[in-house]
Amino acid sequence: MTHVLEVEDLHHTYLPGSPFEAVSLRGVNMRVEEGEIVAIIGPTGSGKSTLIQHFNGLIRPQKGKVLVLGQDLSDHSLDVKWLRRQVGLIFQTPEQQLFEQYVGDDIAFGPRNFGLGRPEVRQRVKKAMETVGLGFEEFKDRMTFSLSGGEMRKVAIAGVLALEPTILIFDEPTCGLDPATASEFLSKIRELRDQEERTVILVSHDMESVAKLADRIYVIVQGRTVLEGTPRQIFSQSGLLRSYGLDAPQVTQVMHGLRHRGREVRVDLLSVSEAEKEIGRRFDLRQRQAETVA
Amino acid sequence: MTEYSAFSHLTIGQYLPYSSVVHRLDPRAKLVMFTLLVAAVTFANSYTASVVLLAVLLGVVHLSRTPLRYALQGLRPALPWIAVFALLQLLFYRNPYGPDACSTIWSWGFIDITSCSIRQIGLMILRLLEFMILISLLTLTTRTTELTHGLERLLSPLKRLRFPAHELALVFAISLRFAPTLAGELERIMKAQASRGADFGEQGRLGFIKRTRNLLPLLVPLFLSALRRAEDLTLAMEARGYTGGRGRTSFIQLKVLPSDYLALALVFIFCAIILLGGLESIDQQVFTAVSDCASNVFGFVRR
Amino acid sequence: MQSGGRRSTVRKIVVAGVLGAIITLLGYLGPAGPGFIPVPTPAQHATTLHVPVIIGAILEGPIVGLVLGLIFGIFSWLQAGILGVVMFQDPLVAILPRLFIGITAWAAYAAFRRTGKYAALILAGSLLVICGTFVYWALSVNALLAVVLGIVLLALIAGFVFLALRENRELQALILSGAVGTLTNTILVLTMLVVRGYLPPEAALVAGLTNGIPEIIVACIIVVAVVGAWKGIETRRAGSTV
Repeated sequence: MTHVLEVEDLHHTYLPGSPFEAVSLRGVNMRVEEGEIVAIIGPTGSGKSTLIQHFNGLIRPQKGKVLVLGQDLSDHSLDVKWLRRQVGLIFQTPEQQLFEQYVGDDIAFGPRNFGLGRPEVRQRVKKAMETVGLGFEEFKDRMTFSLSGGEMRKVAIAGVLALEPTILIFDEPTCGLDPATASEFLSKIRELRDQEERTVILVSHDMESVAKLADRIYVIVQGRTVLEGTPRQIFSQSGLLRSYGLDAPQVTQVMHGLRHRGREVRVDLLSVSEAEKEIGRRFDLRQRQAETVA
Repeated sequence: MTEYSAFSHLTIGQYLPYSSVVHRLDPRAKLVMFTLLVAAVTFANSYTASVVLLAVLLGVVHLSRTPLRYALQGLRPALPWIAVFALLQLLFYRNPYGPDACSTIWSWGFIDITSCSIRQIGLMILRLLEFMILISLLTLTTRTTELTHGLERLLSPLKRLRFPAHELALVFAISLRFAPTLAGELERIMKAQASRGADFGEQGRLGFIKRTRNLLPLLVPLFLSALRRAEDLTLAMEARGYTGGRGRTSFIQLKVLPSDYLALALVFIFCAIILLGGLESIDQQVFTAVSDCASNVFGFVRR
Repeated sequence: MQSGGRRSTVRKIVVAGVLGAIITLLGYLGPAGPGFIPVPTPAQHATTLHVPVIIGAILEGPIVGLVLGLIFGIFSWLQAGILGVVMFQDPLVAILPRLFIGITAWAAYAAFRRTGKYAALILAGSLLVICGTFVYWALSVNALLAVVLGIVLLALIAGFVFLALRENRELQALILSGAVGTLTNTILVLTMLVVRGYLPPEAALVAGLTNGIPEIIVACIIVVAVVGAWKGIETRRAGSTV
């Protein structure tokens, strides 16, 4: 199994030597395998944004190592353009970066920057639009700013997908979306991994989506990796998470609450259906219901 | 532009709540003193004047208990192009004082480096420092609301002429408040577009039309973000019952104390001396004294 | 609902404020940032700082344009004060001309949207006469420059006529507004420079032509892109170029 991304003892300080000097990363360690969906969670200000901005070369490692697809990002001869093609970074509320009048043009911006020919650009735009769920012919000539918020976000994401990067990084992908659209986005993210074999890194505060999607989670607090594991492993440590200022998914919190009140239930549960089964099993609810009716 | 984070840390518009003589001055007095000192900085034409100004300003910074580093932080983003400008001045300065006033130090083709051009650079650097300190002093020791009120009260006599003093002061306040926010926004946009392969770097031979269009991915989102914030702010203000400046009273009551008048008087006299005191002659004397010293030393060493 | 008058005032103040912030930001970042475009002319840079003034005037009217012009002027003046650019330390050069950018830009925009084709043609005709007299004056200064000036003005007026004959006026109104606003800046500033004796008339003409034309083009591109996006104006009939 190949590591597509490796972070070793990464440190970062903003504006070193100035009155606004701020240490944001104090030794982060991370490893991502090909085809994984890895989530990064942590309280606000823990350095998550700083961390992911290293991955596509916006920030260079000051101390420590970052390796992407085998390339050391501290290397001065690094081809940043190549890196940006391989690693697609989608910022929070990406719809704010739209600038072209017409949808097709904005999505084509990325491929055009890399000098692709006209038919290739068209092909990429088409594919990207279809991936996010915007019909090519239907939307490509629409005016960008006349779309709804969710549609604009899809356009922005398509703009990055059109580069066909191997690694996709989403910073708060469901921020500000209604639950239905958020759900749609999350399944699309899973599709990206399942059908197109991309590796996905997710930064999010939405524990439900993290629980649903992630293969593994890294918990970053104050610029350091403090926890690592599968969602079940991480979210079953509710007390520890709370001490970091984080919460587990609501369902898991309910299970923890039950255990706290003396009920012997599993706490490594992530979804409502699992919880339902567990509660049903533990308390023989269906049987009791049957008895009451009878 | 690899150092993206410098933009959002501008010192202009940020208030540091220390307690000092300067902090306690009435904002109107501060604004008037600011204007006077700006005039002094702009029109001071001799090394002596500039150096004295700088010394005095540094003294005031010390009085205000503000760390000097904060005051000079605003220089950071501007440094590269100041350096370029200085270089251009150095090489291409044409002196308006007549050919005899400057001694040529080095000449090559049409590039003349004279004592006048060096003087100009020196003055420019001094002026830059002074101006930065001045504007930092004003914004670091005065709350934005105080500034707005001060400006408005100063302009209020003009209200009789139906001059919208309150509205204008509010516009300035909003500008000041949003400049750092939009700077951060600009930084965000740059990063996002760079992640898509956008290139804003200097590439000599590109036609300027192409370069303008290269800037659109930066400028369009910036403007749109600003306009969106304007919409939000408008709604917020109206929701809180803002109905304009007529009959509007204020929670902050400005009082002018004797100490304000004293400070004003001191600054006024000081600026008068700087501007009218003919300090250029001191320049000349210092210069001759220094060159005498220097030649003495060289003479001594040579022996 | 709120009365129209009061509501607009608040919005005008706020829009003027945020656009003023952009002016300050762009000016502050200088040639290192997006406020300046390097052009192959002696002045090296075309400034884009007047663009927010024009945009503010188009969106919110002449008063906002005036205020933004004031902010632009003050900033320019302060900047000149620091860098020691004597020419622009004179408030009559730095501030006064800039006050008119917003007003003329707004006037051009508002008027052009509503004029019929014939009114536009009459306007073009009168512009022709005015420019003719200007060129005639310029002849007395320097023949070659006057000829170049004449050709340029003729081209501009021809462009204007061409625009006036189209149907969809919004886009053309924006282009015209950008051009007029920039021209106001260039012409008035250079006039003040000559009047106050900082620049000989020939140099002013040259500077105006070499720097002014690129600045117009730059301004128009940005104004169309921004206002087009904000107001949802069609800039291309066929849609995207993909």
